[in-house]
Amino acid sequence: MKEAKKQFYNEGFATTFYKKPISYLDKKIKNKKVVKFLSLLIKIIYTLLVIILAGYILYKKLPI
Amino acid sequence: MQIINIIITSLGFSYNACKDFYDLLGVILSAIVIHKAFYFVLGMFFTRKFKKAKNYHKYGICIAARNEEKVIGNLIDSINKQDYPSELYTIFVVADNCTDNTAKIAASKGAIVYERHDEVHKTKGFALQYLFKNIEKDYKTDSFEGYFIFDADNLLKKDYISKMNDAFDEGCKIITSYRNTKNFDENWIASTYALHWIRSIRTNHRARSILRLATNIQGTGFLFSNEIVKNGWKYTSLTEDRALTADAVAQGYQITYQDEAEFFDEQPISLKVALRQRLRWSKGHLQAFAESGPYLFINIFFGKKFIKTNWNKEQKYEKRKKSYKQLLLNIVESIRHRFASFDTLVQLTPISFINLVRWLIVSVIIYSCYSYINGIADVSLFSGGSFLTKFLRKVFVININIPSGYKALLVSGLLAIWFRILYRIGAYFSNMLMAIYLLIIEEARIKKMSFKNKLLFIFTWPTFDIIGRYTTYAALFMDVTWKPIPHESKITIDDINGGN
Repeated sequence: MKEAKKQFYNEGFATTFYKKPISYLDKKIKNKKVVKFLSLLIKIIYTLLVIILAGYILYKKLPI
Repeated sequence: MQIINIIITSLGFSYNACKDFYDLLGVILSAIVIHKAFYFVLGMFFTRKFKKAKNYHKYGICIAARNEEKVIGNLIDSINKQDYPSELYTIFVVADNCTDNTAKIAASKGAIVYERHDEVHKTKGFALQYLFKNIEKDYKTDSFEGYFIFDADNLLKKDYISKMNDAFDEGCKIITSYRNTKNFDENWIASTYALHWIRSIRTNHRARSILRLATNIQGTGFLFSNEIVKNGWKYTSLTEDRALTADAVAQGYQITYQDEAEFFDEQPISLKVALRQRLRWSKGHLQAFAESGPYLFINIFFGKKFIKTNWNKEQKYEKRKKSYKQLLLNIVESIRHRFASFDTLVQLTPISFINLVRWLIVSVIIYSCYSYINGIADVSLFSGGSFLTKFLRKVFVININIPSGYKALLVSGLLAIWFRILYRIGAYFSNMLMAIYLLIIEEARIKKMSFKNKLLFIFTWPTFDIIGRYTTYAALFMDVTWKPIPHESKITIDDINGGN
Protein backbone atom coordinates (compact mmCIF):
# COMPACT_ATOMS: atom_id res chain seq x y z
CA MET A 1 0.00 0.00 0.00
CA LYS A 2 2.85 2.32 0.88
CA GLU A 3 4.52 1.53 -2.45
CA ALA A 4 1.24 2.09 -4.32
CA LYS A 5 0.79 5.48 -2.65
CA LYS A 6 4.37 6.37 -3.51
CA GLN A 7 3.81 5.51 -7.16
CA PHE A 8 0.47 7.33 -7.25
CA TYR A 9 1.99 10.64 -6.15
CA ASN A 10 5.39 10.37 -7.82
CA GLU A 11 5.08 8.82 -11.27
CA GLY A 12 3.18 9.25 -14.52
CA PHE A 13 0.46 11.91 -14.33
CA ALA A 14 1.72 12.98 -10.91
CA THR A 15 4.95 14.25 -12.50
CA THR A 16 3.05 16.78 -14.61
CA PHE A 17 -0.06 17.53 -12.58
CA TYR A 18 1.10 17.16 -9.00
CA LYS A 19 4.86 17.42 -8.57
CA LYS A 20 5.46 20.16 -11.13
CA PRO A 21 2.86 22.63 -9.72
CA ILE A 22 4.14 22.01 -6.19
CA SER A 23 7.76 22.61 -7.13
CA TYR A 24 6.65 25.75 -9.00
CA LEU A 25 4.84 27.04 -5.91
CA ASP A 26 7.82 26.15 -3.78
CA LYS A 27 10.01 28.35 -5.92
CA LYS A 28 7.61 31.28 -6.24
CA ILE A 29 6.10 31.57 -2.77
CA LYS A 30 8.30 32.15 0.23
CA ASN A 31 5.68 31.73 2.95
CA LYS A 32 6.00 28.05 3.95
CA LYS A 33 2.51 27.88 5.47
CA VAL A 34 0.89 29.09 2.25
CA VAL A 35 2.96 26.62 0.25
CA LYS A 36 1.91 23.81 2.56
CA PHE A 37 -1.75 24.76 2.28
CA LEU A 38 -1.64 25.09 -1.51
CA SER A 39 0.26 21.82 -1.80
CA LEU A 40 -2.45 20.08 0.16
CA LEU A 41 -5.07 21.70 -2.06
CA ILE A 42 -3.26 20.52 -5.19
CA LYS A 43 -2.98 17.04 -3.70
CA ILE A 44 -6.73 16.91 -3.06
CA ILE A 45 -7.59 18.27 -6.53
CA TYR A 46 -5.14 15.89 -8.23
CA THR A 47 -6.47 12.89 -6.30
CA LEU A 48 -10.09 13.73 -7.09
CA LEU A 49 -9.41 14.40 -10.76
CA VAL A 50 -7.55 11.17 -11.39
CA ILE A 51 -10.20 9.17 -9.54
CA ILE A 52 -12.87 10.78 -11.74
CA LEU A 53 -10.75 10.09 -14.82
CA ALA A 54 -10.27 6.44 -13.80
CA GLY A 55 -14.01 6.10 -13.16
CA TYR A 56 -14.80 7.63 -16.56
CA ILE A 57 -12.40 5.24 -18.32
CA LEU A 58 -13.94 2.23 -16.61
CA TYR A 59 -17.47 3.48 -17.30
CA LYS A 60 -16.74 4.10 -20.97
CA LYS A 61 -14.66 0.91 -21.19
CA LEU A 62 -11.76 2.82 -22.77
CA PRO A 63 -9.57 2.24 -24.72
CA ILE A 64 -11.52 -0.73 -26.14
CA MET B 1 -32.55 -13.98 -62.98
CA GLN B 2 -35.29 -15.68 -60.97
CA ILE B 3 -32.73 -17.69 -59.02
CA ILE B 4 -30.86 -14.51 -58.11
CA ASN B 5 -34.13 -12.99 -57.02
CA ILE B 6 -34.89 -15.97 -54.78
CA ILE B 7 -31.40 -15.84 -53.20
CA ILE B 8 -31.61 -12.09 -52.55
CA THR B 9 -35.11 -12.37 -51.11
CA SER B 10 -34.28 -15.26 -48.79
CA LEU B 11 -31.14 -13.48 -47.60
CA GLY B 12 -33.21 -10.34 -47.07
CA PHE B 13 -35.74 -12.22 -44.96
CA SER B 14 -32.96 -13.62 -42.79
CA TYR B 15 -31.70 -10.11 -41.97
CA ASN B 16 -33.41 -9.74 -38.58
CA ALA B 17 -32.12 -13.09 -37.33
CA CYS B 18 -28.63 -12.33 -38.70
CA LYS B 19 -28.72 -8.87 -37.11
CA ASP B 20 -29.46 -10.46 -33.72
CA PHE B 21 -26.50 -12.79 -34.20
CA TYR B 22 -24.36 -9.84 -35.34
CA ASP B 23 -25.25 -7.91 -32.18
CA LEU B 24 -24.68 -10.95 -29.96
CA LEU B 25 -21.25 -11.53 -31.50
CA GLY B 26 -20.49 -7.84 -30.95
CA VAL B 27 -21.42 -8.17 -27.26
CA ILE B 28 -19.22 -11.28 -26.90
CA LEU B 29 -16.25 -9.62 -28.63
CA SER B 30 -16.60 -6.57 -26.37
CA ALA B 31 -17.01 -8.73 -23.26
CA ILE B 32 -13.82 -10.72 -23.86
CA VAL B 33 -11.72 -7.56 -23.96
CA ILE B 34 -13.48 -5.72 -21.13
CA HIS B 35 -10.63 -6.47 -18.69
CA LYS B 36 -8.42 -4.23 -20.85
CA ALA B 37 -10.17 -1.17 -19.43
CA PHE B 38 -9.18 -2.32 -15.95
CA TYR B 39 -5.60 -2.93 -17.15
CA PHE B 40 -5.57 0.57 -18.60
CA VAL B 41 -6.55 2.22 -15.32
CA LEU B 42 -4.21 0.05 -13.26
CA GLY B 43 -1.30 0.69 -15.62
CA MET B 44 -1.98 4.40 -15.50
CA PHE B 45 -0.88 4.60 -11.88
CA PHE B 46 0.91 1.44 -10.80
CA THR B 47 3.53 -1.07 -11.80
CA ARG B 48 5.28 -3.94 -10.04
CA LYS B 49 8.44 -2.90 -8.20
CA PHE B 50 11.27 -5.15 -7.13
CA LYS B 51 13.56 -5.02 -4.11
CA LYS B 52 17.30 -4.67 -4.54
CA ALA B 53 18.69 -8.13 -5.28
CA LYS B 54 20.63 -9.98 -2.59
CA ASN B 55 22.50 -12.11 -5.12
CA TYR B 56 24.19 -11.45 -8.40
CA HIS B 57 23.26 -14.09 -10.97
CA LYS B 58 25.21 -15.28 -13.97
CA TYR B 59 23.78 -14.48 -17.38
CA GLY B 60 24.34 -15.15 -21.04
CA ILE B 61 23.51 -12.24 -23.32
CA CYS B 62 22.34 -13.43 -26.73
CA ILE B 63 22.30 -11.22 -29.80
CA ALA B 64 21.13 -12.36 -33.22
CA ALA B 65 22.62 -10.10 -35.88
CA ARG B 66 22.41 -10.02 -39.65
CA ASN B 67 24.61 -7.42 -41.36
CA GLU B 68 24.52 -5.11 -38.36
CA GLU B 69 28.04 -3.66 -38.51
CA LYS B 70 26.70 -0.12 -38.08
CA VAL B 71 24.98 -0.76 -34.76
CA ILE B 72 26.33 -3.88 -33.04
CA GLY B 73 29.42 -2.13 -31.67
CA ASN B 74 27.26 0.44 -29.90
CA LEU B 75 25.15 -2.27 -28.27
CA ILE B 76 28.19 -4.17 -26.99
CA ASP B 77 29.69 -0.89 -25.73
CA SER B 78 26.49 -0.22 -23.79
CA ILE B 79 26.67 -3.73 -22.29
CA ASN B 80 30.30 -3.25 -21.34
CA LYS B 81 29.35 -0.03 -19.53
CA GLN B 82 26.86 -1.81 -17.26
CA ASP B 83 27.20 -1.37 -13.49
CA TYR B 84 26.89 -5.16 -13.13
CA PRO B 85 30.01 -7.30 -12.42
CA SER B 86 31.42 -8.06 -15.87
CA GLU B 87 32.57 -11.58 -14.87
CA LEU B 88 28.92 -12.50 -14.37
CA TYR B 89 27.80 -12.07 -17.94
CA THR B 90 29.00 -13.33 -21.28
CA ILE B 91 28.02 -11.80 -24.58
CA PHE B 92 27.14 -14.23 -27.37
CA VAL B 93 26.56 -13.05 -30.91
CA VAL B 94 25.24 -15.17 -33.73
CA ALA B 95 26.35 -13.53 -36.97
CA ASP B 96 23.55 -14.84 -39.13
CA ASN B 97 24.23 -14.92 -42.89
CA CYS B 98 26.43 -11.84 -42.53
CA THR B 99 28.29 -10.45 -45.53
CA ASP B 100 29.75 -7.47 -43.67
CA ASN B 101 32.00 -6.94 -40.63
CA THR B 102 29.40 -7.74 -37.93
CA ALA B 103 31.32 -10.79 -36.62
CA LYS B 104 34.66 -8.98 -36.65
CA ILE B 105 33.34 -5.92 -34.79
CA ALA B 106 31.48 -8.03 -32.20
CA ALA B 107 34.57 -10.18 -31.55
CA SER B 108 36.79 -7.11 -31.25
CA LYS B 109 34.46 -5.75 -28.52
CA GLY B 110 34.71 -8.95 -26.49
CA ALA B 111 31.73 -10.97 -27.64
CA ILE B 112 31.84 -14.70 -28.37
CA VAL B 113 30.79 -14.97 -31.98
CA TYR B 114 29.25 -17.87 -33.84
CA GLU B 115 28.86 -17.48 -37.57
CA ARG B 116 25.95 -19.13 -39.31
CA HIS B 117 25.30 -19.47 -43.03
CA ASP B 118 21.94 -20.88 -43.99
CA GLU B 119 19.89 -19.21 -46.69
CA VAL B 120 16.99 -21.63 -46.28
CA HIS B 121 16.17 -21.23 -42.58
CA LYS B 122 16.23 -17.48 -42.30
CA THR B 123 14.23 -16.33 -39.26
CA LYS B 124 15.73 -14.95 -36.06
CA GLY B 125 14.39 -18.06 -34.32
CA PHE B 126 16.68 -20.31 -36.38
CA ALA B 127 19.65 -18.07 -35.54
CA LEU B 128 18.86 -18.35 -31.82
CA GLN B 129 18.40 -22.10 -32.14
CA TYR B 130 21.89 -22.34 -33.65
CA LEU B 131 23.30 -20.10 -30.94
CA PHE B 132 21.86 -22.14 -28.05
CA LYS B 133 23.08 -25.35 -29.68
CA ASN B 134 26.59 -23.90 -29.66
CA ILE B 135 26.29 -22.59 -26.10
CA GLU B 136 25.22 -26.05 -24.98
CA LYS B 137 28.18 -27.62 -26.82
CA ASP B 138 30.86 -25.18 -25.62
CA TYR B 139 29.64 -24.01 -22.20
CA LYS B 140 26.54 -26.05 -21.24
CA THR B 141 23.29 -24.13 -21.16
CA ASP B 142 22.86 -24.48 -17.42
CA SER B 143 26.20 -22.80 -16.70
CA PHE B 144 24.26 -19.54 -17.00
CA GLU B 145 21.26 -18.97 -14.74
CA GLY B 146 19.45 -16.84 -17.25
CA TYR B 147 19.63 -15.52 -20.80
CA PHE B 148 18.96 -12.07 -22.19
CA ILE B 149 17.80 -11.68 -25.79
CA PHE B 150 18.60 -8.48 -27.66
CA ASP B 151 18.50 -7.22 -31.22
CA ALA B 152 21.72 -5.71 -32.54
CA ASP B 153 20.21 -2.22 -32.75
CA ASN B 154 19.46 -2.04 -29.02
CA LEU B 155 21.22 0.12 -26.44
CA LEU B 156 21.06 -0.56 -22.70
CA LYS B 157 20.90 1.93 -19.86
CA LYS B 158 23.77 1.61 -17.43
CA ASP B 159 21.72 -0.17 -14.74
CA TYR B 160 19.74 -2.40 -17.11
CA ILE B 161 21.21 -5.76 -16.05
CA SER B 162 21.18 -4.81 -12.35
CA LYS B 163 17.50 -3.92 -12.52
CA MET B 164 16.64 -7.12 -14.39
CA ASN B 165 18.67 -9.03 -11.83
CA ASP B 166 16.46 -7.53 -9.08
CA ALA B 167 13.41 -9.14 -10.70
CA PHE B 168 15.25 -12.40 -11.42
CA ASP B 169 16.45 -12.61 -7.83
CA GLU B 170 12.84 -12.42 -6.63
CA GLY B 171 12.18 -15.65 -8.50
CA CYS B 172 10.73 -14.31 -11.74
CA LYS B 173 11.50 -16.67 -14.61
CA ILE B 174 10.62 -14.53 -17.62
CA ILE B 175 10.98 -10.77 -17.47
CA THR B 176 10.45 -8.06 -20.06
CA SER B 177 11.60 -4.47 -19.76
CA TYR B 178 10.89 -0.88 -20.71
CA ARG B 179 11.33 -0.44 -24.45
CA ASN B 180 12.21 3.11 -25.35
CA THR B 181 13.15 4.43 -28.79
CA LYS B 182 16.47 5.76 -30.05
CA ASN B 183 15.02 7.66 -32.99
CA PHE B 184 11.60 8.72 -31.66
CA ASP B 185 11.56 12.03 -33.52
CA GLU B 186 13.37 10.93 -36.67
CA ASN B 187 10.10 10.83 -38.60
CA TRP B 188 6.41 10.03 -38.15
CA ILE B 189 6.82 6.32 -38.90
CA ALA B 190 9.40 5.86 -36.14
CA SER B 191 7.17 7.84 -33.77
CA THR B 192 4.18 5.54 -34.34
CA TYR B 193 6.31 2.53 -33.38
CA ALA B 194 7.74 4.36 -30.37
CA LEU B 195 4.25 5.21 -29.12
CA HIS B 196 3.09 1.67 -29.77
CA TRP B 197 5.76 0.19 -27.46
CA ILE B 198 4.85 2.65 -24.74
CA ARG B 199 1.17 1.89 -25.21
CA SER B 200 1.91 -1.81 -24.71
CA ILE B 201 3.67 -0.97 -21.47
CA ARG B 202 0.91 1.25 -20.17
CA THR B 203 -2.04 -0.87 -21.29
CA ASN B 204 -0.64 -4.37 -20.78
CA HIS B 205 2.73 -4.93 -19.14
CA ARG B 206 2.29 -2.82 -16.01
CA ALA B 207 -1.12 -4.18 -15.02
CA ARG B 208 -0.27 -7.77 -15.84
CA SER B 209 2.89 -7.63 -13.76
CA ILE B 210 1.00 -6.32 -10.74
CA LEU B 211 -1.63 -9.03 -11.11
CA ARG B 212 1.09 -11.71 -11.49
CA LEU B 213 -0.26 -12.65 -14.90
CA ALA B 214 1.75 -13.11 -18.07
CA THR B 215 2.47 -10.20 -20.32
CA ASN B 216 3.63 -10.66 -23.87
CA ILE B 217 7.29 -10.87 -24.82
CA GLN B 218 8.07 -8.44 -27.61
CA GLY B 219 11.01 -9.71 -29.64
CA THR B 220 13.84 -8.14 -27.70
CA GLY B 221 14.83 -6.86 -24.27
CA PHE B 222 13.82 -9.82 -22.17
CA LEU B 223 15.39 -12.26 -19.76
CA PHE B 224 14.46 -15.86 -19.10
CA SER B 225 15.61 -18.65 -16.85
CA ASN B 226 17.91 -21.36 -18.27
CA GLU B 227 15.26 -24.09 -17.80
CA ILE B 228 13.44 -22.68 -20.83
CA VAL B 229 16.31 -23.56 -23.18
CA LYS B 230 17.36 -26.73 -21.37
CA ASN B 231 16.45 -28.68 -24.49
CA GLY B 232 17.38 -25.94 -26.93
CA TRP B 233 15.51 -23.07 -28.52
CA LYS B 234 12.33 -24.28 -30.23
CA TYR B 235 10.73 -21.12 -31.57
CA THR B 236 11.56 -20.59 -35.22
CA SER B 237 8.37 -19.07 -36.64
CA LEU B 238 8.11 -15.56 -38.10
CA THR B 239 7.35 -14.19 -34.64
CA GLU B 240 9.24 -16.38 -32.19
CA ASP B 241 8.30 -14.04 -29.33
CA ARG B 242 4.60 -14.79 -29.59
CA ALA B 243 5.19 -18.54 -29.77
CA LEU B 244 7.41 -18.37 -26.68
CA THR B 245 4.80 -16.27 -24.84
CA ALA B 246 2.01 -18.73 -25.65
CA ASP B 247 4.13 -21.71 -24.59
CA ALA B 248 5.15 -20.03 -21.32
CA VAL B 249 1.56 -19.10 -20.48
CA ALA B 250 0.29 -22.59 -21.29
CA GLN B 251 2.78 -24.04 -18.79
CA GLY B 252 1.73 -21.64 -16.08
CA TYR B 253 4.74 -19.32 -16.13
CA GLN B 254 4.32 -15.71 -15.13
CA ILE B 255 5.83 -13.23 -17.56
CA THR B 256 6.58 -10.16 -15.57
CA TYR B 257 7.71 -6.66 -16.41
CA GLN B 258 10.47 -4.61 -14.83
CA ASP B 259 9.67 -0.94 -15.38
CA GLU B 260 13.03 0.28 -14.11
CA ALA B 261 15.10 -1.66 -16.66
CA GLU B 262 15.19 0.50 -19.76
CA PHE B 263 16.63 -0.14 -23.20
CA PHE B 264 16.47 1.69 -26.49
CA ASP B 265 15.52 0.30 -29.84
CA GLU B 266 15.75 1.65 -33.39
CA GLN B 267 12.47 1.93 -35.26
CA PRO B 268 11.94 1.81 -39.03
CA ILE B 269 11.77 5.15 -40.82
CA SER B 270 10.72 3.90 -44.24
CA LEU B 271 7.10 3.09 -44.98
CA LYS B 272 8.15 0.18 -47.21
CA VAL B 273 10.19 -1.41 -44.40
CA ALA B 274 7.44 -0.71 -41.86
CA LEU B 275 4.81 -2.37 -44.06
CA ARG B 276 7.07 -5.37 -44.60
CA GLN B 277 7.65 -5.71 -40.86
CA ARG B 278 3.99 -5.29 -39.98
CA LEU B 279 3.03 -7.90 -42.55
CA ARG B 280 5.47 -10.31 -40.94
CA TRP B 281 4.10 -9.54 -37.48
CA SER B 282 0.55 -10.09 -38.68
CA LYS B 283 1.43 -13.39 -40.32
CA GLY B 284 3.35 -14.52 -37.24
CA HIS B 285 0.45 -13.43 -35.06
CA LEU B 286 -1.97 -15.56 -37.10
CA GLN B 287 0.45 -18.50 -37.03
CA ALA B 288 0.76 -18.22 -33.25
CA PHE B 289 -3.04 -18.08 -32.98
CA ALA B 290 -3.38 -21.21 -35.11
CA GLU B 291 -0.58 -23.09 -33.31
CA SER B 292 -1.15 -22.07 -29.71
CA GLY B 293 -4.77 -20.89 -29.71
CA PRO B 294 -6.30 -24.36 -29.25
CA TYR B 295 -3.93 -25.18 -26.35
CA LEU B 296 -4.66 -21.89 -24.64
CA PHE B 297 -8.38 -22.45 -25.12
CA ILE B 298 -8.14 -25.92 -23.55
CA ASN B 299 -6.08 -24.47 -20.70
CA ILE B 300 -8.89 -22.11 -19.78
CA PHE B 301 -11.10 -25.09 -18.97
CA PHE B 302 -8.68 -27.87 -18.03
CA GLY B 303 -5.77 -26.02 -16.44
CA LYS B 304 -2.37 -27.59 -17.08
CA LYS B 305 -3.68 -31.04 -17.99
CA PHE B 306 -3.05 -30.82 -21.73
CA ILE B 307 0.07 -28.75 -22.25
CA LYS B 308 2.05 -29.00 -25.47
CA THR B 309 5.55 -28.72 -24.00
CA ASN B 310 6.83 -28.89 -20.45
CA TRP B 311 10.11 -27.19 -19.60
CA ASN B 312 9.98 -28.58 -16.10
CA LYS B 313 9.01 -32.19 -16.70
CA GLU B 314 12.23 -33.59 -15.19
CA GLN B 315 11.96 -31.45 -12.10
CA LYS B 316 10.75 -33.33 -9.04
CA TYR B 317 8.35 -31.35 -6.97
CA GLU B 318 8.52 -31.53 -3.21
CA LYS B 319 5.55 -33.12 -1.60
CA ARG B 320 3.66 -30.34 0.05
CA LYS B 321 1.64 -30.68 3.20
CA LYS B 322 -2.06 -30.79 2.61
CA SER B 323 -3.45 -27.77 4.36
CA TYR B 324 -6.27 -25.33 3.80
CA LYS B 325 -3.74 -22.63 3.04
CA GLN B 326 -2.11 -24.79 0.37
CA LEU B 327 -5.49 -25.69 -1.07
CA LEU B 328 -6.39 -22.02 -1.28
CA LEU B 329 -3.07 -21.21 -2.94
CA ASN B 330 -3.65 -23.96 -5.49
CA ILE B 331 -7.08 -22.55 -6.31
CA VAL B 332 -5.68 -19.04 -6.70
CA GLU B 333 -2.87 -20.36 -8.95
CA SER B 334 -5.37 -22.30 -11.04
CA ILE B 335 -7.51 -19.18 -11.55
CA ARG B 336 -4.43 -17.12 -12.35
CA HIS B 337 -3.20 -19.62 -14.91
CA ARG B 338 -6.60 -19.96 -16.59
CA PHE B 339 -7.07 -16.20 -16.76
CA ALA B 340 -3.56 -15.71 -18.18
CA SER B 341 -4.37 -18.32 -20.84
CA PHE B 342 -7.60 -16.52 -21.65
CA ASP B 343 -5.83 -13.15 -21.75
CA THR B 344 -3.12 -14.44 -24.11
CA LEU B 345 -5.69 -16.15 -26.32
CA VAL B 346 -7.64 -12.90 -26.60
CA GLN B 347 -4.45 -11.06 -27.50
CA LEU B 348 -3.70 -13.58 -30.26
CA THR B 349 -7.25 -13.67 -31.63
CA PRO B 350 -7.56 -11.63 -34.85
CA ILE B 351 -10.59 -9.71 -33.58
CA SER B 352 -10.31 -7.10 -36.34
CA PHE B 353 -10.69 -9.83 -38.95
CA ILE B 354 -13.72 -11.36 -37.20
CA ASN B 355 -15.26 -7.88 -37.10
CA LEU B 356 -14.58 -7.36 -40.79
CA VAL B 357 -16.21 -10.67 -41.73
CA ARG B 358 -19.33 -10.07 -39.64
CA TRP B 359 -19.64 -6.55 -41.04
CA LEU B 360 -19.18 -7.72 -44.62
CA ILE B 361 -21.72 -10.52 -44.32
CA VAL B 362 -24.42 -8.84 -42.24
CA SER B 363 -24.08 -5.09 -42.74
CA VAL B 364 -23.17 -5.13 -46.41
CA ILE B 365 -24.53 -8.26 -48.07
CA ILE B 366 -27.59 -9.25 -46.03
CA TYR B 367 -28.61 -5.65 -45.28
CA SER B 368 -28.50 -4.87 -49.02
CA CYS B 369 -30.79 -7.83 -49.66
CA TYR B 370 -33.09 -6.60 -46.89
CA SER B 371 -33.21 -3.18 -48.55
CA TYR B 372 -34.02 -4.85 -51.87
CA ILE B 373 -37.21 -6.14 -50.26
CA ASN B 374 -38.10 -3.23 -47.99
CA GLY B 375 -36.39 -0.24 -49.59
CA ILE B 376 -34.49 2.43 -47.69
CA ALA B 377 -36.62 4.60 -45.45
CA ASP B 378 -35.34 7.77 -43.78
CA VAL B 379 -31.75 6.63 -43.29
CA SER B 380 -29.44 9.49 -42.36
CA LEU B 381 -26.35 9.88 -44.54
CA PHE B 382 -24.41 10.30 -41.31
CA SER B 383 -25.64 7.30 -39.32
CA GLY B 384 -23.37 5.93 -36.61
CA GLY B 385 -22.40 6.32 -33.00
CA SER B 386 -19.08 8.19 -33.26
CA PHE B 387 -18.61 11.80 -32.22
CA LEU B 388 -18.02 12.72 -35.84
CA THR B 389 -21.31 11.26 -37.11
CA LYS B 390 -23.25 12.78 -34.20
CA PHE B 391 -21.76 16.16 -35.06
CA LEU B 392 -22.45 15.79 -38.79
CA ARG B 393 -26.06 14.77 -38.10
CA LYS B 394 -26.56 17.96 -36.12
CA VAL B 395 -25.13 20.14 -38.90
CA PHE B 396 -26.55 18.37 -41.97
CA VAL B 397 -29.94 16.69 -42.16
CA ILE B 398 -29.73 14.44 -45.20
CA ASN B 399 -32.04 11.44 -45.19
CA ILE B 400 -32.20 8.83 -47.90
CA ASN B 401 -35.42 7.26 -49.15
CA ILE B 402 -35.37 4.70 -51.94
CA PRO B 403 -38.18 2.28 -52.85
CA SER B 404 -37.50 -1.45 -52.90
CA GLY B 405 -35.62 -2.92 -55.84
CA TYR B 406 -32.14 -3.19 -57.27
CA LYS B 407 -31.44 0.51 -56.74
CA ALA B 408 -32.06 0.10 -53.01
CA LEU B 409 -29.82 -2.98 -52.97
CA LEU B 410 -26.95 -1.09 -54.59
CA VAL B 411 -27.35 2.10 -52.53
CA SER B 412 -27.59 0.26 -49.20
CA GLY B 413 -24.36 -1.62 -50.01
CA LEU B 414 -22.63 1.67 -50.77
CA LEU B 415 -24.15 3.24 -47.63
CA ALA B 416 -22.76 0.43 -45.47
CA ILE B 417 -19.27 1.10 -46.83
CA TRP B 418 -19.74 4.87 -46.36
CA PHE B 419 -20.84 4.37 -42.72
CA ARG B 420 -17.75 2.24 -42.14
CA ILE B 421 -15.50 4.96 -43.56
CA LEU B 422 -17.21 7.57 -41.37
CA TYR B 423 -16.79 5.34 -38.31
CA ARG B 424 -13.11 4.85 -39.08
CA ILE B 425 -12.54 8.60 -39.55
CA GLY B 426 -14.20 9.19 -36.16
CA ALA B 427 -12.10 6.46 -34.59
CA TYR B 428 -8.96 8.02 -36.12
CA PHE B 429 -9.58 11.27 -34.24
CA SER B 430 -10.50 9.62 -30.95
CA ASN B 431 -7.39 7.42 -31.21
CA MET B 432 -5.28 10.59 -31.14
CA LEU B 433 -6.23 10.90 -27.46
CA MET B 434 -4.08 7.84 -26.77
CA ALA B 435 -1.01 9.60 -28.21
CA ILE B 436 -1.74 12.71 -26.10
CA TYR B 437 -2.11 10.52 -23.02
CA LEU B 438 1.16 8.69 -23.70
CA LEU B 439 3.12 11.85 -24.41
CA ILE B 440 1.94 13.36 -21.10
CA ILE B 441 2.26 10.33 -18.88
CA GLU B 442 5.67 9.25 -20.21
CA GLU B 443 7.05 12.76 -20.52
CA ALA B 444 9.94 12.02 -18.17
CA ARG B 445 11.21 9.12 -20.30
CA ILE B 446 10.35 10.16 -23.82
CA LYS B 447 13.03 11.95 -25.78
CA LYS B 448 12.66 15.74 -25.61
CA MET B 449 11.19 17.11 -28.84
CA SER B 450 9.57 20.22 -30.25
CA PHE B 451 5.85 20.96 -29.80
CA LYS B 452 5.45 20.92 -33.59
CA ASN B 453 6.81 17.37 -33.71
CA LYS B 454 4.52 16.31 -30.89
CA LEU B 455 1.50 17.66 -32.78
CA LEU B 456 2.58 15.85 -35.94
CA PHE B 457 3.10 12.57 -34.08
CA ILE B 458 -0.29 12.86 -32.36
CA PHE B 459 -1.90 13.32 -35.76
CA THR B 460 -0.06 10.42 -37.42
CA TRP B 461 -0.24 7.96 -34.51
CA PRO B 462 -3.60 6.33 -35.46
CA THR B 463 -2.05 5.12 -38.74
CA PHE B 464 -0.22 2.46 -36.73
CA ASP B 465 -3.40 0.55 -35.96
CA ILE B 466 -4.80 1.15 -39.43
CA ILE B 467 -1.70 -0.42 -40.97
CA GLY B 468 -1.97 -3.30 -38.49
CA ARG B 469 -5.57 -3.92 -39.45
CA TYR B 470 -4.89 -4.10 -43.18
CA THR B 471 -1.70 -6.14 -42.85
CA THR B 472 -3.73 -8.67 -40.84
CA TYR B 473 -6.22 -8.97 -43.68
CA ALA B 474 -3.39 -9.23 -46.22
CA ALA B 475 -1.43 -11.75 -44.13
CA LEU B 476 -4.33 -14.19 -44.35
CA PHE B 477 -3.84 -14.54 -48.07
CA MET B 478 -0.16 -13.78 -48.57
CA ASP B 479 2.90 -15.94 -48.28
CA VAL B 480 5.21 -13.94 -46.01
CA THR B 481 8.93 -14.62 -45.74
CA TRP B 482 11.41 -13.22 -43.25
CA LYS B 483 13.49 -10.30 -44.50
CA PRO B 484 16.01 -8.33 -42.46
CA ILE B 485 15.15 -4.85 -41.17
CA PRO B 486 18.03 -2.43 -41.89
CA HIS B 487 19.48 -0.53 -38.90
CA GLU B 488 21.61 2.50 -39.56
CA SER B 489 21.37 4.71 -36.48
CA LYS B 490 24.72 5.90 -35.16
CA ILE B 491 23.24 6.95 -31.79
CA THR B 492 25.18 5.63 -28.81
CA ILE B 493 24.12 5.22 -25.19
CA ASP B 494 26.25 8.28 -24.33
CA ASP B 495 24.27 10.36 -26.84
CA ILE B 496 21.02 9.26 -25.17
CA ASN B 497 22.29 9.91 -21.65
CA GLY B 498 23.52 13.33 -22.74
CA GLY B 499 20.30 14.16 -24.59
CA ASN B 500 17.78 13.30 -21.87
